[in-house]
Amino acid sequence: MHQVRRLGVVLAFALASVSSVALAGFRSSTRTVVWTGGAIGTLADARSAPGTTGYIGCTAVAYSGGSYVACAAQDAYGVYASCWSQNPQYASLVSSMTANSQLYFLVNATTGQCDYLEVQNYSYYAPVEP
Amino acid sequence: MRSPKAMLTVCLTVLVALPIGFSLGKIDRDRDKHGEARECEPQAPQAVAAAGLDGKTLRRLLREELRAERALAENDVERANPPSDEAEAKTEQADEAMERADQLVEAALREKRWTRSDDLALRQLFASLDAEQVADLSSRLFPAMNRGEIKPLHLNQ
Repeated sequence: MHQVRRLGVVLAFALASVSSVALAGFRSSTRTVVWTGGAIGTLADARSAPGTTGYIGCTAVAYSGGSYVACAAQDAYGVYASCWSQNPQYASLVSSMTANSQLYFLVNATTGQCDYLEVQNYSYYAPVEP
Repeated sequence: MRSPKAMLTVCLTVLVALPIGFSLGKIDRDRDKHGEARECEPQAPQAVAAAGLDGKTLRRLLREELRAERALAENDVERANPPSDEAEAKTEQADEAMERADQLVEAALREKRWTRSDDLALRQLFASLDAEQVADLSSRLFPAMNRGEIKPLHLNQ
């Protein structure tokens, strides 16, 4: 009986620890910002944003003639930005994206090419949820 | 009787002329021995200098000669290996794909919209295009979308 009570205390402590761990840690929540020269936002926040138009993401394509990356974003107001690149380094960055990624890209206004592409994978970015 | 000065001049002339004459005679003998091929071989610096060519001019001439030889060799290779039927068919396919992709982008610019079917069609055409052609199309399509001249509707239409 004494052992059962002791086990219950240990379990309660363990559950409390798990619970406190689950609540700990910084969580970032930002809305997707899009302007004609680029965009920044997390995949999760774009997906969970109000409205039906917002999104952010990239496509990586490989074909017989080479490889190709296209990134695009649109906010809740329909502001749109996109860029493309044949730079394999960009393709490598896109393949490093996860459900926790924040994406940031800058667009060359003349060619539409990506002047800058950044992928951040941090725990404080929420994962994409259905 | 000649003067000592005249004698000295004669001696010097003989001393200078003999080795030169011997050398020239040797070159001529070598040329006779090995035929015309010898003329194409690199000449000794003394001979180059004698022909009035400095190093810079010689290098330029060599470069020109090499370039000409290379051009001739490349032409020979092309003549020896004409493009295969398969390669020609591939080029033809790429030309057709580029034409269709070009029409897609032009239509989008005219109609000011980019639909899902346009997007899918362009992606399929990309497979037949080279990197330069893809870059050309993308450089027209993406900036137009970013400027709002083409509305992207490819997500849900």
